[in-house]
Amino acid sequence: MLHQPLKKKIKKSKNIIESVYEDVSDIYPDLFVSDKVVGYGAIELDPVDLNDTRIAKLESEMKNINYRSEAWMLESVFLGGLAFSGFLTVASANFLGKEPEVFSEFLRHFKIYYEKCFQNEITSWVTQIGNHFFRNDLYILIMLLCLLSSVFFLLVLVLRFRLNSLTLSMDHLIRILNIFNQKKMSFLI
Amino acid sequence: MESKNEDYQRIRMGKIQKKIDTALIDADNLLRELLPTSIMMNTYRMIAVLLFYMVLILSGFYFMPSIAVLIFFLFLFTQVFGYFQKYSKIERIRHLLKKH
Repeated sequence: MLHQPLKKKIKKSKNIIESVYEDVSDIYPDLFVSDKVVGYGAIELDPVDLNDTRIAKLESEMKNINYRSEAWMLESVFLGGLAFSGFLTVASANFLGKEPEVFSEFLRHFKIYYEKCFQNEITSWVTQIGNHFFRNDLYILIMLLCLLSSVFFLLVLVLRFRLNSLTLSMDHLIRILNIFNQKKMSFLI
Repeated sequence: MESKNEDYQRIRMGKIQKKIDTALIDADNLLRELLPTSIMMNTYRMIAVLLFYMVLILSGFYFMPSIAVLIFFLFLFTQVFGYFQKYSKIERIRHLLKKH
């Protein structure tokens, strides 16, 4: 028996909800037709198996998001902590109490550097660095970047809580899908 | 008796199918809700890592500019190599996945 690839859809009409099958052979030209292999490397798929592939796809996407967010969380904890400790170290070792003056000095140096380089050739953006910036400017820039970096890592950690609650709901739905799909399979076999 | 059992099984099967369809739609919607958070996390993480890289590069200036340039080129090489690997293999991986 030859089947076209079908997709189940929920159709609502006049308060009646029913599931209908829609032909998706145009959308998935290399998807399969039962009892017949279409195209190179194609695998036979019955319409009844479409749910299984969708569930597998959902599970893969879910795992992908989970693994990535866990890796980001670990990275954020370690690098964020490291960046903030870097900020504290530079601040305490160099500018205890003198931060506002050094920062305004850095801004002044930056302004002069920008104005001069804007008028000169492109190469002056590199060659003029040594003439306008000093060691204290380097420290203040490192401090600033460390602080910003740790703030962004912290934001990643904050977003993780939101992602966590959503992934838990998703995990619950996937479990339900697997349980009911198994029940359906026991009817079909 | 047999037809009664068949009817019951048909109704039960219909209910299960309906449950699966609804759960699939809900899961698709939930996945769509997950994506913005995931994209936002990825963006923040990218910015944070980039800033951290800048700190490392600037730290190289503490000793001499050539060390900073070396760190920058190492970073650049790793990124370019990563993108090259990704885009040179992506078609083959897509083809492999398409089979299933």
